[in-house]
Amino acid sequence: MAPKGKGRNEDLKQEDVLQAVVIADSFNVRFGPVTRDKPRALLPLVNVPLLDYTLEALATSGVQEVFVVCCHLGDQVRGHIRQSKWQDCGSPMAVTAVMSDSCLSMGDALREIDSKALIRTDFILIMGDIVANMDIGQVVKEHKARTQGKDKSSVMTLVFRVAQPGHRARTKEENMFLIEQGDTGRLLYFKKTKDDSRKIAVPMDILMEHDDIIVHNDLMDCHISVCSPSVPTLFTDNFDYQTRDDFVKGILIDEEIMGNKIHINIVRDKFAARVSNMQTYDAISKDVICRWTLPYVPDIYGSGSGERVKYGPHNVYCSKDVTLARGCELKRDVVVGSGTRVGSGTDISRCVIGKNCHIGDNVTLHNSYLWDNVRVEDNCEVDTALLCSGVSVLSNVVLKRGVILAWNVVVGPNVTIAQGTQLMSEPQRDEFDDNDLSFGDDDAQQLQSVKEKQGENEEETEAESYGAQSKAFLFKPYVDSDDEDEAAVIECQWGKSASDSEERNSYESESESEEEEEDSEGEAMGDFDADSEEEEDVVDSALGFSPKACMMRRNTDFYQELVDTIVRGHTEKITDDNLILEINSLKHAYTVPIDEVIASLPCAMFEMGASLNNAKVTADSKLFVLFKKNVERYAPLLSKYIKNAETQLVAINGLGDFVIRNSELRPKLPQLINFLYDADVLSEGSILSWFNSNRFQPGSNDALRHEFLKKLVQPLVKWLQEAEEESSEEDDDDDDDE
Amino acid sequence: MANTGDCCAIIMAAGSGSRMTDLTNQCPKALLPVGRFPMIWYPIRSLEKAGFSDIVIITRKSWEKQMHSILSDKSVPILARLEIVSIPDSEDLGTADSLRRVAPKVKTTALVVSCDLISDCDLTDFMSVHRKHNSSITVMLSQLPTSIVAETLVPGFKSKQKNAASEKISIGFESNNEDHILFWRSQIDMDSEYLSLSKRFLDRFPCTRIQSKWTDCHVYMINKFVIEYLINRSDINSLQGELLPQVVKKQMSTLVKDKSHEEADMTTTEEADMTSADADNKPEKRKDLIDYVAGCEFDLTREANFLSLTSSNFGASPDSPQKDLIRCYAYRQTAGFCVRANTIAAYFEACKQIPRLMLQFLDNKSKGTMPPVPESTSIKPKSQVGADCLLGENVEIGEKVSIKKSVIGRHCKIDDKVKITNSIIMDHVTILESSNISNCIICDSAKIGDKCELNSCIVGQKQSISTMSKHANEALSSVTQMMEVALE
Repeated sequence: MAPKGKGRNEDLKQEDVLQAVVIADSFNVRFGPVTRDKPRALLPLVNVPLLDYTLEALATSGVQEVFVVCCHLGDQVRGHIRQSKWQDCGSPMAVTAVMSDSCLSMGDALREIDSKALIRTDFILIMGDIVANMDIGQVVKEHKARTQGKDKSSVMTLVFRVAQPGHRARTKEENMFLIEQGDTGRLLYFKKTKDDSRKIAVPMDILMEHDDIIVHNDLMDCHISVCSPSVPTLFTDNFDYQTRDDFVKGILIDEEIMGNKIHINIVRDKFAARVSNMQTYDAISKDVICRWTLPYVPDIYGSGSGERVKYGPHNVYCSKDVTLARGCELKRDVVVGSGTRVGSGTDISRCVIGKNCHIGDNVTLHNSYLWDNVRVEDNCEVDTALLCSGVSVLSNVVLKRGVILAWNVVVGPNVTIAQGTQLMSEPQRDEFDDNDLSFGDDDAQQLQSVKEKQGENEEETEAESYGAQSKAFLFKPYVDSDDEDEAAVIECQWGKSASDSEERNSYESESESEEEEEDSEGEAMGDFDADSEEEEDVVDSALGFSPKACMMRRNTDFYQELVDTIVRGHTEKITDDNLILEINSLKHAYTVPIDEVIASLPCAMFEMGASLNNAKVTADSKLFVLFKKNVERYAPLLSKYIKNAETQLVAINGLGDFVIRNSELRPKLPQLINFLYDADVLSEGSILSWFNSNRFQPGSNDALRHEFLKKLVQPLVKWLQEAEEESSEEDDDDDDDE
Repeated sequence: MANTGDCCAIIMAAGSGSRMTDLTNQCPKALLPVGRFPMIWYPIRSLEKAGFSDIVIITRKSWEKQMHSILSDKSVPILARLEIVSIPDSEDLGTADSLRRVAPKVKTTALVVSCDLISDCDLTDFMSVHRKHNSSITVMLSQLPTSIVAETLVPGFKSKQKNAASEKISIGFESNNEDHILFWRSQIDMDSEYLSLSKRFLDRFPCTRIQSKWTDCHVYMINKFVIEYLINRSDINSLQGELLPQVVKKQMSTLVKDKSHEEADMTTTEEADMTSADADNKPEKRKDLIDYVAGCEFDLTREANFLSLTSSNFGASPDSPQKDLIRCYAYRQTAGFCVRANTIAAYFEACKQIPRLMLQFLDNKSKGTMPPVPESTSIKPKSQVGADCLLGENVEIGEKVSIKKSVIGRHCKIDDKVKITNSIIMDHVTILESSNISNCIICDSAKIGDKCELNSCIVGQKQSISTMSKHANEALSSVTQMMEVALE
């Protein structure tokens, strides 16, 4: 290599140094048990750690200074970097590990970078699990040209690769939809789409404001971006930016205020992809084997240690010292690492096998990934599985599709492992201890023993189901807040290939039927109706209308705080005036409209009674008594807010929403209104005018809701009308409240 | 002469010119003079150049005679045989209705041209786009000349007009086959807050370029099966507003019924169930456009399409539909002049451009006989007529007259010291001494008194403008005419 050491780099002008930030953590658990012991960036892909692909891509793009942010199991990453060739004195690129164990998201990592003031110029932001042969330097040049030219406000250039819908490397969770400005490549709209949404709503403004836009559903995020030096600062300023998507969204929303813009760059003829889950791991491995990633293919780049890999027909790559027994067959797309022995009668296709593995006789390996030191004994069948380093599969074991065996698991002999099973060699610890890796040995042992005691029986049965000599414990996929069920996680991990085919067929036929449906209605594709159905807009069968759609929008935080305030006011005996001040300040704090305060107040009064009694909101008569008392007590306060006909209507509607939410109270709505009437908070006139109002479109949701409430209030109104008639018969000097 | 095949050329000349009532309340739009000829001559000429020898003209009953007499006038050089078909005046019939009337004349394809198309582009290019893609319906799009797009001062209006802004259309093109139209939506219809795109559409056409800079020239090539569909759909009134968006949408539809007949072995059981369930409401389905296409598409063509590797979504999942039986394409004209003279602004622009373009419209024979200033014109000394002007026959021009960037009709009398700039003067107009006319349209037989100052005005037919009057930005027509406009 050229004598371009670190010392030389420092002589250069600081702006000329091309910097890159590598995030060596995925901040998710898509790899299940595998990434518990090794960070994703160090997982081998076709026998080379992912991080090495990423760093190599940066080096060939002309990057001179790299900061690798290490979070989860950061020590391992740092160790790997220390031993890498980048630490040699002739290295063209300086790689520095930035340790930050506390980071929980990419946002945190960038804030860390910002606080250390490492960035001086436009830099590349890249995940540590990217395989790419594209020239990122070109994107940097384009970005620089933009920022120095007419578009100074461009803060980020995102790199996307063309991948048509249905592309095998496109995963459900990464599906996205974006709109680019036709001639400039400026990003106008960005949305992640889940597969189940049948329509995408695009703000009409984009169409009206821009004469030339390109709508993309054919792109895949490469997780490579070129950032202006202001990006880390922006992350620091906006502490709610957790991911890059948050950032992109934030920039697009605040575009008019901040004036920052984002551009995109589309890679068409080069390779760049991120290993984000098992599906992409599978797809990208195949891409490497099929040489899409040239020069990063096993025979050229494969083993950094300099050992030779022979590239044979049908994409079969064998290291020099592989021992193949007579009668074994390497069909196609196979990579075998050095020191591996394959027994006779064994059939291997579309597999990657690591170093020093031992494959027995009459084994069938298909579409599977075996890392180093894996032992598969005689007569096993493995289909679409991931076997981490040190795994032993004893004889006569069948691994069904989608099995993942984490580090050092032993299964068998004579068992069949069900589809999609994930096993690890230690019992699963509590989720919350997962990130806490620093606990001492004592703790660990203690924990272990506790666990063992607890689940002894369970483990025994587990052990049996995985074979007599097994060392395997079931890993239960961590279901995160996205509400993904297990099936979805499995699907995410292995993609469509592993999820059962029946499901897929049903999906197909479903889509067919949709087509026909739409065709027969004469409103085929690209139909752009204004009101796209929202998920929550579901008709409640008990009510006959969809409650969410017609209820006044409300801020639950505000509501809770309001209830708490009133309860506190009551217990601490705060005067009404001060209570009003507090409520008003709440209104400002949560920036809710005055109508919401008015609508919430009577409900809050009721909930106050409940919470003073430590009871839930039920139709308990005790609560009604309390409500009556409170209403009488706070009538002056309520009247401050509910003062004229208009606000009284709002209050009644608020109560209406309240009973819709709490179905038990529905029959009691007349009482609730009556109490307020008795306390002179509501007037007879406004109750009647509310009852008789017909400002809603017949048949609309609002109208249905109104009908529903009317039915509930019917008795009260009847009584009121009768009383009114009586009183008008008697005398007419009653002043009208309005 | 280019081969026009079985294509039937139709000119739509029944439009009332509702966007330019100041001019059309006396004269059908198609017969408004543009340069030396009526407007309809230009599309006829374009079709002739493309090789058509028979042209069908659809007009209103009441205009039929006038149209006949004007088009058979020897001063208007027309080679093609014209067949004038009239439709009743009473109903307000749209372009689709007009087309329905002449549908029996269409054998395989119809080339529909609007009478207000003034363009020097070659229609053969347009027709070859249609043939190349075996398109169901092909549209000619062009970019408006910048002089119209920009806010210009249009005669007869107080304020500057935002021209054609409301008529903008958002058109989506497939990004790797930019002739292919995927999306068609007039911006007037887009009053909702969100545009919702269906997943099916996005999966089938993952990359769409939506542009709003194109104007529809109202030149369509329409396949026979679409016209058959049109015959059965009497609710469709206009080609641009209704038929075209519908056909664009229908590109997504797939032919299911046919599949159950011929590709039963390829369909899965679920699909078979679907189709049998579908058979029950067959009569309803029969009406759809996709069913009309079935008769026209050859099995081999379909097979070839299905097997083709060059199909746009190569590499996409096998469940993405491949049956694009309905296809909409566009011919996007980028060079040359093209305008639809359907607004005053566009009409004005077309008239001003015509002196420059005239030579391209004339055939070789008549080129020599059409000098910009005919011999029958008498010009007295010391008058100046700019080279960018076009004068009609028998025009009398007095002394010290100055005419610049203007078109003057036949039998006009222009007295001494008159100044005319940037204006359109129609036939039999008399302009008395020392008047100054700029940026105006003056209709037939108008009389302008002496020393008048007219700026950005429209002077209606047979109007007399009294001596010494000054007008700016006005439409000057009589009260009765105004009433008519109001009644319309």
